[in-house]
Amino acid sequence: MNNDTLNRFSSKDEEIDYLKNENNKLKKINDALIFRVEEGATNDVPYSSFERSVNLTIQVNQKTQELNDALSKLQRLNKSLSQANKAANIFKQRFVEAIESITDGFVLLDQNGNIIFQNSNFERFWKNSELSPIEGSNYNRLKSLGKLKGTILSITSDEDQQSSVYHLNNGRWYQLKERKTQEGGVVILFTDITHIKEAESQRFEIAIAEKNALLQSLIDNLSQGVLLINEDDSPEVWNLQFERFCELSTKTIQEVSQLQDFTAITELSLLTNSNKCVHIQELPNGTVIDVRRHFLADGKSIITLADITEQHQYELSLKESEIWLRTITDNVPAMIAYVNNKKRFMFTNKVYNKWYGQNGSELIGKALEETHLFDDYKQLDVFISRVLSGETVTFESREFNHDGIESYLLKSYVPNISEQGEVVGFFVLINNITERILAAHALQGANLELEERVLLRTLDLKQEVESRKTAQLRLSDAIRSAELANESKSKFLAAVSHDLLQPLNAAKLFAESLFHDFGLTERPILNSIKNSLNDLENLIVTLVDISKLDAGLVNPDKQTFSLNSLLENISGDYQKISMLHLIDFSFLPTSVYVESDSLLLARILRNYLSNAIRYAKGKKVTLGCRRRGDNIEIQVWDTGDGIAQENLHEIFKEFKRLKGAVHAQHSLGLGLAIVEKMAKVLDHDISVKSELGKGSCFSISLPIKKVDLSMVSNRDQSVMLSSQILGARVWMVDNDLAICDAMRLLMTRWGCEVVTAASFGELSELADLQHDECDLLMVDYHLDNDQTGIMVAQTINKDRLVAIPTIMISANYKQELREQCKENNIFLLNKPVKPLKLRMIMQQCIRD
Amino acid sequence: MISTSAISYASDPQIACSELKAQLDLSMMTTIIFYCASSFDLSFLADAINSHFPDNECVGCTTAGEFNGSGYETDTIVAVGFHDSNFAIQSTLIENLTEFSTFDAQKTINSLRESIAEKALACIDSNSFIFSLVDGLSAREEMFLTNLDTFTNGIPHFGGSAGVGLNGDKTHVFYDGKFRTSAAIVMFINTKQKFSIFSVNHVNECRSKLVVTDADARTRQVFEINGEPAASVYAELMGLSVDELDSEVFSLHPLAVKIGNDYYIRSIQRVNKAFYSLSFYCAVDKGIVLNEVSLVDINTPLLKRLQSIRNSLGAPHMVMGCDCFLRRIASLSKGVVDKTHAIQSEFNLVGFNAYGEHINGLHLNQTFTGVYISEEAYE
Repeated sequence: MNNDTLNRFSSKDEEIDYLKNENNKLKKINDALIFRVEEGATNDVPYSSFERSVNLTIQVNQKTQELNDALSKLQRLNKSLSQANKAANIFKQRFVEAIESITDGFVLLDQNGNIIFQNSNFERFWKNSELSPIEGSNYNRLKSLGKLKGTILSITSDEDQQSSVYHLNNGRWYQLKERKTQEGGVVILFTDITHIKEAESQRFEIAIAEKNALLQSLIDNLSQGVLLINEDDSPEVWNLQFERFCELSTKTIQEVSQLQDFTAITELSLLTNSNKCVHIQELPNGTVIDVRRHFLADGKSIITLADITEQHQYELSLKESEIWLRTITDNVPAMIAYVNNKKRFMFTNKVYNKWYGQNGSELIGKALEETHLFDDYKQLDVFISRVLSGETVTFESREFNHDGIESYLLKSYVPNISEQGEVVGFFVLINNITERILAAHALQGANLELEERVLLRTLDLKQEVESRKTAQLRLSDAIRSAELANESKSKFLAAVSHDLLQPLNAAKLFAESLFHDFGLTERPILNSIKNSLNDLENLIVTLVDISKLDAGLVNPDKQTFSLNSLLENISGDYQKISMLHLIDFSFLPTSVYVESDSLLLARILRNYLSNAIRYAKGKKVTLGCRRRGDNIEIQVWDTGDGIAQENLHEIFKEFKRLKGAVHAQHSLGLGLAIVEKMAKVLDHDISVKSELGKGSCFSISLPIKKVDLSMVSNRDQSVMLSSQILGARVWMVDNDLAICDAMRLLMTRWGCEVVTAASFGELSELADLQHDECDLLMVDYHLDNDQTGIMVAQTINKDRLVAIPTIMISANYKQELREQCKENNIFLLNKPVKPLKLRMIMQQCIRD
Repeated sequence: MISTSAISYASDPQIACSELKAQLDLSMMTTIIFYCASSFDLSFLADAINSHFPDNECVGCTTAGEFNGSGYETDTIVAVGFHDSNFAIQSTLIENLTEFSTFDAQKTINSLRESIAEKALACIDSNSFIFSLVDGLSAREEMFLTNLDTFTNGIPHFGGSAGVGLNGDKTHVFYDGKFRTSAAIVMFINTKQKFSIFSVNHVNECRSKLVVTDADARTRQVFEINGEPAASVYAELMGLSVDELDSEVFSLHPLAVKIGNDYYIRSIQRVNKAFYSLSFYCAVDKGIVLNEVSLVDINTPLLKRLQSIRNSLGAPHMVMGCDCFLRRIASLSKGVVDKTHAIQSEFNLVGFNAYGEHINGLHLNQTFTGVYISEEAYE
């Protein structure tokens, strides 16, 4: 019982009554439950019967479940068993097929030698014998029966008993390979090697015949002539070469029975006298033959004939060249000698002999030390040791010749290294350099003086270089600080302009809405306000542009487009403006496509046109193009005052305005400076021509792009003004409340239903973002709490069936944002927003 | 062909029977089950059945509504004929439910088994089920089913208690040419088709517990709950007066007993104003604990179960069902009857609205209990 119940009672009695009552009920419940526990299980009471059935069912279900589990387990086991069986059968089948497919005979024996399995090849082996093995018969008995009956002619076993060769009486040979099985039986493979055996003996005979032929051809191909004479002095074997040397035919030689008989039939002396073993004979035809006789142990002998004509001639020419060498060395104006590794002279030329006062061959064979030619042999011996160790030595020495004249000698010792790498001696080359040495001494004196002078001059130069370096350092410091100043100027300008644009934007929008609140009388004032704001905005935008261009922040977004549609657009605007200024404007269309950033290009052209209309003071302005090779030059002509030649190069500079220009108060002279900077970014050439009193022509030149017309997008088709935004539902998210108010005011005037919010959260409270109808979403880029307009647009559109067309309004001019918007299919509109432009964009978005 | 069901909307028994006959191919079937609205004059109807289907084994019962695969019907006859090529059926009548003993149950099942063995089309133990139809106001269902179940030997069993429409107070089963009370029919059905016996309810969870402190088990009457008049306690629990209690309230706010982990609904039949007692459609007794339970959507559990059976047995040929008449009331009252009809036509649900459902010896209320007969046969 809870407190509520207790508090209900107004008196104790009432409470007591209630509690008594409760007590009675509980007693009854108690009794009922006791009854159930004690009597409830009686059999023939329907409820108990029901209860029992339920319990039974539960038990049955449990048992059934267990039974099913056991059954499915059994089924699984059964399945895997039959799979195993199947696999075993397949394996057996494959085994039999494999055994059948081998060309060998195959038999499997149990441990008693009884055949368990045999293939048909094995059966075939015994086909024509009286033995026919069947499965179950004993192989050993078969074997001994075969031997007994003569079916098996022989059995040869190799040493390890693992293979043996059977030769059967049907002429077949079998090689047996045995292998014990795990259960103690044997597997025997019978390979029919009959053809191998036959092939073997054939091969043996062929090999011997081949060997003989080889030997004969070997002898025949010797360059020497060979004659084998047997112990009876009669010729036995000879070769072709022998026949050729003797100039005898085979038949003739075959008829010769004794060696001395050759003397009669050939000019060659074949050493018939057995005392002499070597003989060199020059034949009348100039051939020189070396004849040798070798006596063999068994009384036979071999006579060999060799043609040594070339060798003979070489020896002769060698002698001749030696004489030549002598002549040459003797006539060379240098001392030449050769000393062997025993330090003995082997050769000296005439000059050498003359210097040392010797005669011809007196020195040859003498040891250097013994000749006493050298004043200081010990010093010389040092160099000799070095050259004999393989080093080439060159040194100078001052010596006196045998006439006592002092001379400077340049000596070169060159080691003569044999093929084995040993030094077998050395060549001596001595030049008399006395004159050269004396001249060098004189030159050295002059040189010393010169060096001193050079040193002094170098010192002077160094000092000058140092002072120039210092000057350069100061200069680059100055440049760096200038650059820094320029950069911070750009940053400052960018920041300032950005901060200025925000409130200005709001102000403009307020001003626009004021037109609706005030009457005609205030219009002029409002117009002035509007114009002032416009001028201010243009000024700030221009400043932003200049700062961005200076800071290198402008990256052109180059695309291929029809130049004419751009020019048409621009000319449309200036047609109206020129009418205000009472100027005759004409535009000459073109058909080319170009590659450029259309926005930047448009600004350049607008600048030209604004200048032409506002400042040129002419009556006529013409916009047209001229082809120049692969480029097209867009030209803006005016018929104004023109610019003096000396001023032409100045007009593109910042803050330059020519004197006497009208409406000077509207211009800061920044326009052409921007043009110049933008053209530089676009990589297009600009130029100006002018004639005083006649007019000017400003132009920009850019490359023509050849285009497949089907590829060109239609996006630059002009936007039609319509009333589609009437009644459009617009959601706007901007954390700047002033902008929100201004925009709401403006768009409401256009007939839109506008919901504005400072954040995504606020918007989601104001509207059902998933289901409410909405024609346009307008977002600011920077929102509070690090939110961005892109995030808001993504979040809203993610849940919707059809994405809401989205316009992003931002003072952020970054390329990154532009790309992000493109990716998300968001239209980017930069601040400050012009109402007409906004309206057009809205129409376009809603229509799409 | 597996089976054919037919329906007639005619109120004249003769016309109704000839219409049914035209829809059934009698040359192919022996046994036909008739689910008859109680609005017919039952003796005329019996004559009409006998004269139109003289060579058929006709069984059936009265209903509290019928369905033939396309929505709940009233005042119609639905007939189901089983083709002899796919079904072997043996039926028997239990004439006096009050004296049906364990011994009788054994005799009944054994004789059915013996007869079916002569004509079985498939393995008896695995390819048979038992179907029962019982007088729904006999108050003997529990004892009868418990005794029967003792000897079914694992053969799945389901069935339903005959019902009656608004205009009657007696429920009948039809056998051997006559409508009978206090009787039951047991059918042993052997078939080649894949099938599955199932029962679903839509109980969610217990809200409060009530103890029956006084009851009459014989008449299924509860006099006191928690020591107070039963009807008052129930009405108070519903926030209604006793006069406002009707079938719709009973169908939407049932009481159930909990055995093991499951709830079994004990459907209230009526309020007895004289004693402020509650009469039930199934067994109750003193000392049992009744749970007031909350319900889930009535259609979801049935649809899920049918889909799950379809996944394992294949597309349905027919689902022969006993659908508690209180489920029909609940479905209509909750406005979800279109969904119920959609399930009926998707799975070809054929059967009747019962006063109680039987499954494997249990007598249940507020369930859909039936057999799912697949288009596929066992190999």
